[in-house]
Order: sequence, then C-alpha cells, then structure tokens
Amino acid sequence: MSAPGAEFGLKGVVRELLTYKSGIVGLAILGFLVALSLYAVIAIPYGEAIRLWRGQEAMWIDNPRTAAPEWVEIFVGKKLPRTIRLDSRVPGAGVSKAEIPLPGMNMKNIIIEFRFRFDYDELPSEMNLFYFANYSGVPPYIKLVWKKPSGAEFELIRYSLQAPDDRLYVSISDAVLSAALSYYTEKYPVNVSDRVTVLKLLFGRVTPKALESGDFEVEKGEYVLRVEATVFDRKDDLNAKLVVYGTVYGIAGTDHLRRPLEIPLLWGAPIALSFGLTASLITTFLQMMIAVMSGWYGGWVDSLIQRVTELYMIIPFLPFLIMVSVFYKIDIWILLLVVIALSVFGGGIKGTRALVMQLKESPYIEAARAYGASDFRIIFLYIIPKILPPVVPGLIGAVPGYVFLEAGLAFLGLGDPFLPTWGKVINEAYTNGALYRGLYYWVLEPAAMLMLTAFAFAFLGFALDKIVNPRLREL
Amino acid sequence: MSAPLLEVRNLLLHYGTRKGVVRAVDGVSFTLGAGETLAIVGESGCGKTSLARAIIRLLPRNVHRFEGQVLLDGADVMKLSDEEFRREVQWRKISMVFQAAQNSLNPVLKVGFQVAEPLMVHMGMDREEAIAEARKHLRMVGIHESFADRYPFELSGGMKQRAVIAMALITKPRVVILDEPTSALDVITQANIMNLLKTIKRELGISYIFITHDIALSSELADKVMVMYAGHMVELAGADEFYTKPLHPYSQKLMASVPTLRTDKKLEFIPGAPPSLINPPPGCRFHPRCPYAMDVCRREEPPTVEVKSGHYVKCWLHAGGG
Repeated sequence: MSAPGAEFGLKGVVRELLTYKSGIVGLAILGFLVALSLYAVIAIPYGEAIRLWRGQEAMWIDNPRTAAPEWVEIFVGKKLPRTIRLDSRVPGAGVSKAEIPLPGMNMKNIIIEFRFRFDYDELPSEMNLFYFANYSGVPPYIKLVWKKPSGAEFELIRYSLQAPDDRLYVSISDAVLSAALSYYTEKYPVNVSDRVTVLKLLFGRVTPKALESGDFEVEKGEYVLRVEATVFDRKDDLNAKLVVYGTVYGIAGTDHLRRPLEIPLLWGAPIALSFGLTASLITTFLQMMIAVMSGWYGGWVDSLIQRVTELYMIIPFLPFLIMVSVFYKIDIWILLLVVIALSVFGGGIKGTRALVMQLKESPYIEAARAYGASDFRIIFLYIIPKILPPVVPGLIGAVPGYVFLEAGLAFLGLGDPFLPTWGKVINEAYTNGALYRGLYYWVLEPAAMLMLTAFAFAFLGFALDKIVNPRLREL
Repeated sequence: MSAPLLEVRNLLLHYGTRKGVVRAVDGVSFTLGAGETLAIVGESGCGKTSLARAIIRLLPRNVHRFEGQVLLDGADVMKLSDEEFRREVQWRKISMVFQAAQNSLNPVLKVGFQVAEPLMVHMGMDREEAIAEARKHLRMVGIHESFADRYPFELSGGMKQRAVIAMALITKPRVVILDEPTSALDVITQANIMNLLKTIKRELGISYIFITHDIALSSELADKVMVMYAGHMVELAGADEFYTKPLHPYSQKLMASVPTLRTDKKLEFIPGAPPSLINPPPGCRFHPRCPYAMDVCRREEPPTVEVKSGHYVKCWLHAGGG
C-alpha cells in the first residue's frame, strides 16, 4: 500500500500531497477558498448577508448600477470614474454650508456648496441629489447652480421641494437638460444632436462641434454645485447629499440592483464548499456502507441491493431533481437531502462491492473469522480501512460535481430562494442580459469562482489518486 | 497418553459445487494426545486443509455434508452450535496458523493490535491489557516488542510468520493447527521457525496438527504421521515407524521422492495426479497410480486395518493381516 518509511495519519497524507505539484496547487486553492469562506462567515454573518442581499434598493442607493469592478481599468487603460459622495450632514473637504438669516423676516437662506474634482477619462453614469429637509409649513425653495472647471456657471433648476426627503435625479431631469441646453445654445447657435444628455452637458467640454455630434470629451478639473435654498421659518433646516455615480465599483462591481457583487461571491464560497463536501461525503459514505453490506453478506441481500442500484442508475437524476425543485420551493439544505436521497444507490456501489467481494476471500479475513471476529468487527477493522484508499479520491473528485449541480439548479432558478450563491449571480446576469450589454464581469466572476473550486478538488483528486494508487506515480 | 486430547471419528466434509459434490474429507479418524504432534502429509488437493478447517469449523458457504465426531477432552464439540463453538472452542482451545501466513495479517492494523485481536474478541480483554499480552507473546516468539507498533509490511516474512504464531498462541489453546506454516519461507527461516515451534511445544505442552506436503520437514516435529490421499486417510503410524518403514505404496512413493544430501539417489515420482474428488475412482482411490494395483483394488474399497498397535493402513496389500 504505502512505501516503507511513509508516514501515517492526516499529517503524513498532507506531507505526501505536498510532494506533488497538483497537490500543492489543489491545497493552495482550497486553502484560499476556505479562508474566503471563513472571512465571509465572520465578516458578514448569515442573517446580515441575507439582509444585505435581499435589501430594498434604498440600501444601495449610493452605489452605481451594473458597475464593473475597479480593476477593469487595467484592461481599458483609462481612468474610470469612481463614485463621489458629498453630504452636507457630514462636514468634510468639499462640503460647506452657510445659513444667512434674512433681516426682518422669519426666513433664512441656506447655501450648500459641493466642490469636487473630476479627473476621470469617462463621464459618470448618473448624478442624484438627495434632500433631507425639516420644515413645518412651506417647503424650502431651491435653486441649483452648476459651475464647471472652465468657469462656465449656469442655473440648473429652481423649484420647491415636494417632500422632506425629496430627491432630484439630475442626470435624467428634463428641466435640468433644457436649462443647460438653453445656456449653451445661447452661446453656440447650432443644431443640437439628439444624443446630448444632461451628464454630457454638465461634465463634457462643450464646443459647437460636440453639440452637433453628441460626442463630448470630459472636462477635467474642479466642479461646484451650489444649492441655494430659502426656508420660510428660522427653525427649518435643509441638508443635501450629492452622489456622482462612477462606472466602476469595488473589487467585484455591482449588479442591476446596485448590490455589490462581493457579497454573493464571498458567500458563495462557504455555500458551495459545504454543499459540495457534505453531499459528496454523505453519499460516498452511504454508498460505501451499502456496497460493503452487499459484498459481505452476499445472497439475497446482495441481489436486492444490486437490483435497487440498477433501478437507481436508470432513474434520470437531473429531471427528477428539477421536478422536485419546481413542485416544492426548497431551500439549499432540503435540496442537499434530495440530492443525497437520489444518489445513495449510485454507480459507486458496483465498484466498491467488487472490491469487497475480492477482499472477503483474502487470508487475513479468513484468519479473523477463525479467531471469531464478529461481522461488525471485520467490516470496520478489516474491510473498510482497506477499501478507503480508492474511495477517498473518488470522494474528493465528486465534490465539484455537486458544486456545479447546485449552481446549475440556481441558474435554472430552482436553487435556494434566499441565499446569495454563485449560480444565482449567473442566473441574474443572464436574465438581465449581462453578456448582451457587455457586462462580462457579472458572468465571469462567479464562473471563475466555480472553476476555481472545481480545479482545487480536481487537483487534490489527482494527487490523492497517485498516492493511493502507486502505479500512477510518475517515475 | 491414556485419554486422548482430541479424537476425530469418521469425519466427513463434502462441498456442494455446480459440478457435483466434492468429497474433500471422506471419513477420517485419528487421535491426538496432549503434547503430541500429528503430521498430516499428502499431495496438494488431498483434503489436508479441508480436514483442518473441519476440525476448527471454519467452513465455506457451500458445505454439503459435515458429519462425524470431534471429541475434545471427551466432549463432542460437533454437537455445539456454530455460535457456541465460536465462543468456546474456536481459538480458545483450538487455534490455527494459516497457510501463507504473510497474508494472514491485516495490512492496515499494527502487528501488536493484530496479535491481540483474539484476546479482545474472545476474552473481552480491554485494549491496553491485550496489547501488553501481545507484546509478551511477540517476545516469546522472538520478535522485539517494538515491532508491536509496526505495520505488517515493515516485517520480514519470517517475522510475520512468528507474529502469526504468536497470534495462534495468545489464547493459550490446547491444540494448534499449523497449515503449511513454512511453505513460503526460505530454508534458513524455515529452520528457525521449526526450532521455535519445537521450543514452544516443549515449554507449553501444546499439541500440534502439522499439515505439510514436505515429508522431510514433518519428520522434524512429528510424533505421529498421517498420510492423506484423495480425502482418505491411507496410513497412520508413529513417526519412528513411519519414517523407517512406511507400508502404504503411496507413503513409500512419497518417501522415495524426498531428496537426500550427499547420496546420489534417483528421485522417484508418482505418475499422474490425485483424482478428482467429485468423481473418485472406484475401489481404492490410489489404484490408477499404484504399481501394485490388483483386481480387488479396482473393485472394492480397502478396509483400514491396524497392522501393529497404532499403525493403520488402508490397503488391500495389508488387509489380510499383513
């Protein structure tokens, strides 16, 4: 079995694994995934993960929609805009707020100035202004003034707030568009292209040619947005938050609901690992036990188990699983049970049974029977330790199969309805036309994680196979 | 040697196979006194191992007939149920050293644990105690105690053989069946093991049933020799008498086939092979290969006659009273 001088136990196995390149690679990837899982579970506990993932849009309103991860800059070769958030309630660089009481009247002016640099090579994706007003009678009256690095300064809009938490979606506001357009068309009387948008006018270098073609270059430098508000009671207050949305976000990007993809990518790891390992461990163990029963007791027990196994091998596994998932909206652990139940009498039984039948006739088992060892003792002390070596690489090799199965079901929309998983990210990317819209990161990231998991176990399986099956060793 | 320790009377063991009934052991009787060694010799396929298995009741599934009497200390153990036999006789009173001992050790168990197994299984001893006992027995058979913590593949063939002998002795049985205990060993190791067996026999007063096809080797240990042919016992005699003057033609042929040192002897062999035990020849089963075969040999089975006290022969040549 092992060469003389080989070590025993887990430590020995790990040490031996490390003598193979595939073993090192497999262990390294697995270690990374396990570390990731631990981090995920500790940093974002289960309940928190579900809350974040299932949270309404309000939770992620400050994030850009379908933003690529920040590292795509490396491939694009441009400086892509990050999201800029400026909040008058959080004093800091770029935000100033002044209150000027109007003499003789129970009114005051509140002037909030947002000042920020925009040095990126592309336009932002969106711009919103959120108000936090506190008034008792007449709502505040607001005037917005936009000042560009070139010095151009113009009014964007004038209006009364509709609600204390009113917001202005600047980038899609028709009022802002017409105000900005009228400012520029006065300057350059040209035919304005249909493709001109608010953001192009606000952040682009406006030239007659650009107005006609609709293609703008980004005007880099310092921008100022001034909120000039008049409140009609001295006790009233107004704050505002400006968000200039970028086109990249974090290390994993965001999805169509502005949720950061780190959450499902991180949480996918513990779910995939635990699902794959549990399914593989339990099915392999049960299959082994059944095979041992079948081989050891023989006779009608053997016949019965073999016939049941053949029946199970005929049952179409995936259609069955899909049917169960469709009829009963099941969570991932019930799914695990169904998967196990459907693969208990799997093909693995045949191979292990053949091993047991061969082993049963070996002299040392005969000797054990002679000195009266019970069936139980022979099975657990003599047979199972001997058939474990070929079973273990199979166990490791089966893990990616179950991980893919879970992802496949999630992709078909039949997975766990609550948990963020890799398969579900791919499913959402697909239903939101990620590839059609060129949002490759959305599909590639979870796919890469899935492949990484498969690689880890495949490499480990190769190495283990070489260890327990010395004929495969390279010379 | 008044009351024999083990007495086997007319033991039958037939196997049922698809081709027919294999009459592996067909009416064998013998006695074995305390501290005595009975050597059972014969060619391969004569039923030697089947006889041993019948005595220790380690039977395959396809037993067709299993009859006769096995008296141990005067009590017929054949009357015991399998479970009772397993609990009271197997290994406690009769133990066995298997053919190809190298393979009788579980490769995934440490030697000490393995040797201690019968104690744990039979005596219900706890693990520590049993392993301590195993170390003692390993020392007795000449293996350093430290080997108790090794795995079988780390031991040489001779050491494994010693370990298996220790395993057979650990329950302090009365009878040990040695089924070709040295067949896979080189001659030096073989000599070592034979010396060890002799020492043990002298010190512990154990009775051996020593199964071998090596008639020269059997002379080392035997007090009595039994020759088996095609499931029958053809000759049973005291060792001295047997080695000097075997009576059955088959025994004579066996003796003539043993090489000797220094003398330039032409080795004899017996033409043909042992007959099929499914369909044995009529009359004397040896007659197709027997140089002295007579008409009666082809027709009728010879009776077993006691030629001298303790010397039995199953041959028509001696049936008339010698």
